[in-house]
Amino acid sequence: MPKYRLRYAKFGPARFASHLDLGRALGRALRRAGLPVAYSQGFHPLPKMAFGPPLPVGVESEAEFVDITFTEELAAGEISRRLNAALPKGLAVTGVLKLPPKAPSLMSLIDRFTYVFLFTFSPEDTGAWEKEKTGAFLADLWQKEELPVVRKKKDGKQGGEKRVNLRPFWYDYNFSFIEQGLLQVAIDVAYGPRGTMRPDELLPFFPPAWRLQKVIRAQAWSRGEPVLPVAVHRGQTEGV
Amino acid sequence: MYNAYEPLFDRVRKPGRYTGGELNAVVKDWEKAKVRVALAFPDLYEVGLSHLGLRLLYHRINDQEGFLAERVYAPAEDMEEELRAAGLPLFSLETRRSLAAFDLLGFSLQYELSYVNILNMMALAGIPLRREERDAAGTGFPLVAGGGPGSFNPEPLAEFFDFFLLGDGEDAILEILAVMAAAKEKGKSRAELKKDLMAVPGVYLPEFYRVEYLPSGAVAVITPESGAPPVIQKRVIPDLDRAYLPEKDLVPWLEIVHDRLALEIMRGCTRGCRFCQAGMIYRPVRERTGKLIEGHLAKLLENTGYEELSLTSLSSADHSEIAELAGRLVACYTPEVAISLPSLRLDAFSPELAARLQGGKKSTLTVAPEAGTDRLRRVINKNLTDEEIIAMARTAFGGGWQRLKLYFMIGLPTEDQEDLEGIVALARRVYEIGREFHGGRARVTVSVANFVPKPHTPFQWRPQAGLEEIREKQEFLRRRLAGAGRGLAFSWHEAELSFLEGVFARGDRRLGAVLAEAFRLGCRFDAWPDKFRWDLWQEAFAATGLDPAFYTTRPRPREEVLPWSHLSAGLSTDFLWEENRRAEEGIPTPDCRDRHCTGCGVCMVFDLPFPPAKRTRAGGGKDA
Repeated sequence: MPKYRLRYAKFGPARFASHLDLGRALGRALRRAGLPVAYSQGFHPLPKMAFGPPLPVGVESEAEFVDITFTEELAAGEISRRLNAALPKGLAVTGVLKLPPKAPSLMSLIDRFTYVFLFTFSPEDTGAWEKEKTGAFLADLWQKEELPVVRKKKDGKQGGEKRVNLRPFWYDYNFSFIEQGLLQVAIDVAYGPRGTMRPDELLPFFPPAWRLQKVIRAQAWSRGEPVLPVAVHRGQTEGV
Repeated sequence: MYNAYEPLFDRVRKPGRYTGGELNAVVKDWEKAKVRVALAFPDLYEVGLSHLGLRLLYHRINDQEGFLAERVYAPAEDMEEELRAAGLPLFSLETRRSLAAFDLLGFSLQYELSYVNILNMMALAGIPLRREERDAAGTGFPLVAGGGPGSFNPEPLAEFFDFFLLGDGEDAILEILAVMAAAKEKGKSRAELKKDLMAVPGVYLPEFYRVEYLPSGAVAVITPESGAPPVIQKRVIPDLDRAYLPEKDLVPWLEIVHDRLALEIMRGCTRGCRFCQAGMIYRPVRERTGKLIEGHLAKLLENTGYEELSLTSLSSADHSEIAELAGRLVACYTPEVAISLPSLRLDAFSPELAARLQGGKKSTLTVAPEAGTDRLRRVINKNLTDEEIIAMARTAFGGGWQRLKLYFMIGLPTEDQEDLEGIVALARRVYEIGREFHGGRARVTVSVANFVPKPHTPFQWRPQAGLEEIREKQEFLRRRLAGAGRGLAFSWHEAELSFLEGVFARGDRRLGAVLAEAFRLGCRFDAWPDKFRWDLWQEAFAATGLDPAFYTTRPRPREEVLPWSHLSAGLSTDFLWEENRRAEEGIPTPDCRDRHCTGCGVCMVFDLPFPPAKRTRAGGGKDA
């Protein structure tokens, strides 16, 4: 049965939806859209969907992915049009690609994410943080060999904690002032079996004067190439 | 929509409880609305949004031009702390406005142990708790109202609320809002508005009733004042097929307690179980026809995309078209959409259909004998025999189910040791049958609740079992069921919770002081056993000098003026008393749809045809 890879954005009211919440929301939207999605067998059949790596709750994203199996061939444009009409506010399909048979899964494909932080400043701090000072601060942070954080273990009942150095997971950064007092910092982080980091884990290393407005997952990468980039597929080009 | 609440959302657990934005949520233009309503549920979002009635009213109000409804649920403790620390008021989900900004703040009164949360929600919005304080403040604060089963004895809340609505709300809510809109337009005072509301049938304004007490503590007399009607009669929608039913429904982001599409297929129940308040106050029984249900479900599924739908009512298996309807729905929608029925009679369905309606044979099937012996079941008018229950268990286990749950109550009127032994014996026999069919895989859960006498039922005069009695009975059952087998489990309700529920269920106005004190001491979410603070409640009773035993373990004589005697569910007191007497003698009263009229009075009071709803299967059947 034909499988399609969808790129979608998650924002506004959807940003607090967990990975599980999202699965339910998408399943319901597919039913509202009347799209011929394939179901698993059994007493409680589920739509055949395989999501990419989970997004931390509270983070917005322009680069979320899910592979969906349908029972029949559909034009990519039809999938995105019908699904967008049915999705709740906060979710929007931005690209659709039909996958070749045996295409690798999203989880095995994605090895890097770009996150963007947006910071503002209090009126008295706005003047103090200009381009040069900001650049020097970030360059200094980048030079560090140890960025230690304490992670709670998943089975938090035992109160288990683990010290982790974030630095090996931090791949790249850049920054710009969108306007005076509105700072954008982009970071690239590792994703994969050897480990990753959540964007908010880096926040304590930034100056307290930087007031976080939002975090956005802006791009997902596979071996240096963006996964299903919006620019290419916004026109819902068919095929690979 | 960035505002002052955003930073709080990043710090609390499950922020989706507060951010709204669900599919089919309605955000209306605040400025264009003549009357603005905040619909409030005094429990967590996951519980509150699961409640069908409030969802219905939400769409009912928002479908009308000029009226606006937004929602609010009780904030969890972490959000309460954040709100207090930030000095921000409790807010509505849709436009994040303080509850104080609305014209009407309407609470759903589903269970007594949610009442302290009501006070907390008002306080968090800066709304004075006591009605008199709000009245003294002029027109600034919303009217605070309540609806739902709690309205049939809202006396413990009387000093905090402006009015209550008794009975069906679909039409009454619009009449209330029309009165409010007219008063606003004419610039009427709060006092004038309340006089106008007095004219809306079903609306009860406690301030117009003076309550005096006897030295014994019982009510001496309830006197209507300022032209208030002596008795408030509940509202009844005579024909459910013509009642309002929204064509869309909210679809939450979070997983809620009942995360499915629910359609009310029937209202009321005439089985006449003497302990059951819902079975009494929601009379008469009214059905939606199968055709209407099917058509409506199709629209709702299209608008929501839900993967499960539930046909709800007090006793869905009693709907006259249920087997045919369920069969057609199963054929049409399953397996992609699961179909569930909250109550099931195995004799009414084929085993295949029954399995479909109960989430498969791997799920747990529930049977509710309610009491341990045939005798006690005749007392409560739950007319199942041991043999019938055994036969049901045999059908269920034989039909493939491996797990059965048995529901019982303890503390029922006339209950003695034999009845408790009956629970043990029945549970053991059912478990043995399970073992016959499934060996070590058979599971039987014996769930035992504590009986709480409720207003407007035949047992409203009966004493409630005291704490010690309940604890001893629970201990007896625990001991006797413990060694009965690995697959036999026993679960029970906290005795103190049921005891407190009983206090407020049949309480009077003086209990308002206890609620206020418990709130001040920090009680919250009392219906949640892990949050319940019996020590604080005892402190609250001591501080106010009120004795909880007065409201619970004391038998009430026939001639006592009950605190709710000016509030009517349409049931004749003679009928309730006669049912109470028949209970004493163990005489069953058949369902009025199967035999003759039982004289409860509802059809007569509301001038409705008898029998209340057709039933095609003669003789009804036994319910599980």
